[in-house]
Amino acid sequence: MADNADHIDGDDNEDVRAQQNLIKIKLKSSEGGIYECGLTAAKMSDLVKNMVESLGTDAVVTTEPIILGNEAVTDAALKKIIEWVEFHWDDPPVDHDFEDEKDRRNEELSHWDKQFIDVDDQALLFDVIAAANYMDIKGLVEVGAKHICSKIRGKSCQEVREMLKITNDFTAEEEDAIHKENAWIYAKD
Amino acid sequence: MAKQMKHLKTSLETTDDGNEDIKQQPQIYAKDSFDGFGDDLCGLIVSYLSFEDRFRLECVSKQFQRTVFGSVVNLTIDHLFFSHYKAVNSAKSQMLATIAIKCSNIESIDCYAMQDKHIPEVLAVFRDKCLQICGTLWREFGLEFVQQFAPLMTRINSMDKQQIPSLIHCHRLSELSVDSLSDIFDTTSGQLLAKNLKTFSFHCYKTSDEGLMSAFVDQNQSLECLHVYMYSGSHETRQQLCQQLSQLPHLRDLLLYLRVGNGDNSLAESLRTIGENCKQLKQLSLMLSSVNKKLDSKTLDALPSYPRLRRLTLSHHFGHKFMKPLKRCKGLTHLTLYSMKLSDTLLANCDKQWPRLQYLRINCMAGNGFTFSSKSLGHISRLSALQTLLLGYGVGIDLNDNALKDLLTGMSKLKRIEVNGVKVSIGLPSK
Repeated sequence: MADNADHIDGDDNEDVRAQQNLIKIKLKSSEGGIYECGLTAAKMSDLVKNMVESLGTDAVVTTEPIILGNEAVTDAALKKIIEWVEFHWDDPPVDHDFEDEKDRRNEELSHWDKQFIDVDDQALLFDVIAAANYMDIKGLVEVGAKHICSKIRGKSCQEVREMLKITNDFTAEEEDAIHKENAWIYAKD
Repeated sequence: MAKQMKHLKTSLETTDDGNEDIKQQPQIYAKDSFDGFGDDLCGLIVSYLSFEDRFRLECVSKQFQRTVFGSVVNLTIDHLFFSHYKAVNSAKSQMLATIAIKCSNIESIDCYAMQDKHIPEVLAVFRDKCLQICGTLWREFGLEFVQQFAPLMTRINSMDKQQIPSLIHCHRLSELSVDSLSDIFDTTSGQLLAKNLKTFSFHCYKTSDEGLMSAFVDQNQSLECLHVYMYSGSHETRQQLCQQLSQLPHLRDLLLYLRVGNGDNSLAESLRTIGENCKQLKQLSLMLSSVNKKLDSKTLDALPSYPRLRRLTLSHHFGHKFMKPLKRCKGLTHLTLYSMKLSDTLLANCDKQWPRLQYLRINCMAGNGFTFSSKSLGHISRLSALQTLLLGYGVGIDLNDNALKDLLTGMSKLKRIEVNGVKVSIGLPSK
């Protein structure tokens, strides 16, 4: 494990990653749009990474584009996703030897990410998140999740429903009962 | 994911004869509705909510109710926990029961600074699960309590001396902080009571601890993290300590607080020994307090040869010469410098010498006179991987806010900047 980690963040490997990102592969959205993306960047998606590994890099580069069939992978969402991975492909890997997971969860987004994810079109935002989840790009799902949570932090249930267009499927009685169970949280200073 | 697919692949077939059929059809969700997300993704998103917000937002929808608590695996209870929520005595157990039922994945409880009278109450509620407890072994805990809960304790952050014998019941203990090394040896038999630890922290006041250290090292070969605060001792004692701890093959994280004596240059040798033996060492914190400030300028020379050193913390009035070897620690991702006499020379070309630096913290002692010029900030702004930049107390910055922001705006991966404890926001204006 340790040997492996050391190998991954070694200088040589960084050069290889940079070299590989010069290789362009094609990704096809569910709407049919075809977009180019650097290989290293594209492999931030575990879905793409697995496909590339099973098909072989040469095949992926020379043949048909990789088809991303999920409905959420629209042209617009795929363009956003490629923009994100092209910016983040050279991020340092997470060092699992340190217990930073908790800190990382609480970390704010970088201003680039904040600006990237702050899209006015909520349909596009949700497509990007769902598509990133489908493509298994954990870092981007996290960016989307943090963005949504920062928007609903401290809001009332009704405000959250309106903001995220969520249907309230509780009856008034059910809602009252939950309020009673959680009464202590509202009694806060 | 599968669920989500089902939601998305909706059927348009509906029948005219009654609502019943329509209800049974999978629904079509508006593209901008959160309702379109499956439970897995919803759970992932709401996992970034605070503990409090989870309870407040439980009744947003049934999907929220199903997914909002699943990611709570740890509960932190400090001395404010009950008073914070104004839970009166009668409501406490109700509140705990609610938490235990809803957050059914809680597997560890951190009982920091908790008033001891509440601990049994809390633990009783969560006892049936596979729990890990972190906290303090208070003097007041009776034998019955200790026998019941000590086997669950994985981390002990402080301990009354009266509880030393209880350590024998802590079979799962992996992290331990004690005042003195002698605290983990049975007072009568002299038997070592803490074995196979991963993390250990102790203070070293007297030289009689030497024999104890070698016994500890022998039976804690698994140790990964060690913090030693050594307040006295000759440099021979210190060398011996370093020699012994370098016998820990898995050591990854080492903190040494040392008092460095007059004209003593043995530290360089100790640091070389550690580097040669502890091949796994990734994090080193050196806190040196010295009687006279003339420390051998070769003290840090061994650092560049540490094969895996990634995170370095230095605290001392090192002069410029001492810091030179740092320029060759190319693998550093985290660097913290306290009370330094800094010069621009250390930071010149920092993007070349530390290309992977993610975290940089510089604190100077007040009156040390170091001022960040636009030149030194210019050097820092070329650290393209930097995510956290903390310029601490005593650091002067001769730039106005806008010039600072301009300089740092180019560092697009920065997540956190603080200057003298004040957060600097460099984000572009929100829409």
